[in-house]
Amino acid sequence: MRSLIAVILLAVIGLGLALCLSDMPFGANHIATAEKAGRHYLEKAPQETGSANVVTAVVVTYRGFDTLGEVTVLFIAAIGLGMVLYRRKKQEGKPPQPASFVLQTGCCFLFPLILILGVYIFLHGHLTPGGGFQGGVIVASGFLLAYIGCADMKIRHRWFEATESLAGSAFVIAGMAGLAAGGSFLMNFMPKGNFNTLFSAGIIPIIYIAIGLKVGAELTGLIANLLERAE
Amino acid sequence: MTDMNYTMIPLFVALPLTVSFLIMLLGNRVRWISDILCTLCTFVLCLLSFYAIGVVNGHAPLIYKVGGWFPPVGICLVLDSLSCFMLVIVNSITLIVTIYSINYMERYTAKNKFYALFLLMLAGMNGVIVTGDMFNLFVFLEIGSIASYGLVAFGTEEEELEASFKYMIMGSIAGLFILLGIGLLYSYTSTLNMADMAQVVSEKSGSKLIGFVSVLFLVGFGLKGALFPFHWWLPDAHPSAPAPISAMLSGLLIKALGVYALIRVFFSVLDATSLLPVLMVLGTMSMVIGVFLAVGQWDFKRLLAYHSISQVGYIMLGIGLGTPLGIMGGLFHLFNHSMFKSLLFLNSGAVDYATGTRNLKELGGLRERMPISASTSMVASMSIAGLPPFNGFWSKLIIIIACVNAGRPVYAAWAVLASIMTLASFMKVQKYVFFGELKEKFKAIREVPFAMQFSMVLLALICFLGGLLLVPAVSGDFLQSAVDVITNGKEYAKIVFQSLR
Repeated sequence: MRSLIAVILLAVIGLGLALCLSDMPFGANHIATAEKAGRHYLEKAPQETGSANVVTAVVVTYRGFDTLGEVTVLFIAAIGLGMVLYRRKKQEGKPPQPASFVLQTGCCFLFPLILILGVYIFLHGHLTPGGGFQGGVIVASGFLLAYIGCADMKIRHRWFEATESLAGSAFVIAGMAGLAAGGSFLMNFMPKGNFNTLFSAGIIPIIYIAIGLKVGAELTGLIANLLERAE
Repeated sequence: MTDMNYTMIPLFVALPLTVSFLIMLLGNRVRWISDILCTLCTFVLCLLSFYAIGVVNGHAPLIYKVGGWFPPVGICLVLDSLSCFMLVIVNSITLIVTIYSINYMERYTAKNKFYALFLLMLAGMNGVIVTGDMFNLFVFLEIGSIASYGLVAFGTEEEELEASFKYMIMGSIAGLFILLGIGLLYSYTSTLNMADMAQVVSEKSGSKLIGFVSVLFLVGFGLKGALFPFHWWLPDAHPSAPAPISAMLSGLLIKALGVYALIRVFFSVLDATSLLPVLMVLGTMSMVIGVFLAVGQWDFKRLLAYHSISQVGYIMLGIGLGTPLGIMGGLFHLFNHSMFKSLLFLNSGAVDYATGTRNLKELGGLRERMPISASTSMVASMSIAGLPPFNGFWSKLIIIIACVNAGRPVYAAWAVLASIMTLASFMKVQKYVFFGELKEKFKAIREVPFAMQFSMVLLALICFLGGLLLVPAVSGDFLQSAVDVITNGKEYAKIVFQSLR
């Protein structure tokens, strides 16, 4: 009976989707060609923001307020998980097996390289594909490797939590600085520099550094909360 | 109009965000800092929201361009009378609940995390209320919801984790419906700005898509607002949280994320007035079914949670009527319900704080030992049951008159019936908790600390005086101008573009 209702509901939703999508031409890229935001981004972004990467320009400047929200969602998830797992950490389980020699050595060798790659990606967010979120995830993946390779590894949670909060505050303060500079919240008030060089695009690199550090610290904290064993 | 007035708008979001980051940074290092920071932050926001009334009401709405980009390209925030009305409700109750939490949350560990999540939830609600951009609305909706999942699980007992898990699943499904709706609308209109969207939708009329998207939004926001038949997660989720959070969830969150967002999208963006009868029917059903389920409950907070479903039904019935009087009744009931339902949850928290139980059968005679909690809960019970002269009476009266005026006496009869059942159910609460004989084991209990008493008395005063909001000489055009925003929903795009500068 239940599955019958589910099938009927699915059919109704599917029919609705099919009906309303039938109005639209299949495969037409009408968002980019419409005389709306899409075309504006593609044509004007490099001049207006100084960023060579249009995606970054949209994410950090045009729709920076959304990005602030998304960073906050991750922050909430990190706090929430830390809170829920607070008790679990005290339970005992069977001890993990130490990793093989190859994995341990490889992990020592790769860990710094992965961190450098992550930092490179978020530093160059306004020039090359990628950005704060991606760079932060790569940094965290380095820590994940370290956790897999070295079973008794511990991070200093306080440092990571402090980085999280400081980077989050830095994002908001960078936004507020736009207000102080006589513009509006999250305005790109700094000089745009030479197009397509590292020191360009105003506050975009600053915000992406903050996001990169924040995302890296948060995801590492999440991994640590899930993998670390009780004392 | 000065720049200061504009600068205030992003502060409603940015201030609680910053303070919650600061609390996570400093909370463990300095004692009391999280209490002080959180109270200060909510106090400032509350003042700002009252200041906003003076700036917005009777004038054109304020449009804030985030980052200085003009709307279809960038995100804009819109502060009109309806946003203002919601901001005042949200921020003033948050302040009162914060004062209450200072004492109440002493019992829990990790108070910093509580405050951080609390402020993030506030930032989410304020963001939903002030935003003028569809996707931004979704982002803040998720911030508010995800923070509330964490807060429901705050006790980390088995029951609370289960409730939070169920709530999270339902919330995520709601989020998916809303996101699908926004995605379809974006591909249809090529814009995410609400005003721009409204313009495109009204120009390209006669598409099947708008109807389908409206249904998606009805399901999504209905789930967030616990409208029948999407209500059944609420009686698990709301009672599991600590009492101040239950007050926030039932008093504010379901209204900001569910009712307000639904009103904004239906009236201002989609102009989906053809769906209003559906809203009316669903509202009436949640009104009646909620109250019938509530009468049989023996857990204090669970009973209150079922009443939230019922009272949201009243709001939806009023809004769904679509007449100016009905909308006014709906919005006024939204205001009143926030006040008395928060108060009732705070009362239940006070009883729990003093006695350690929420089971009605175990309690009794608390009137002698807890006079303040007893009398404030009496006020709240009479408000929710709709007895004059308390605020609930006036809003229910307006809704019933509006039903009769709109030629729908059957709905009016249902509203009266639900009101009588509410009265019966709260007589039960009063009888079992505060009247009757004091049990031996509760002979030694004491009244709750001062901060908790203070916030309950404050809310009781608002419940008592709330009816004055109907008198223009007292409240100015606070309520009326919010109603005008909804009834002039079609003009939203025009008004926003005119006020852009």
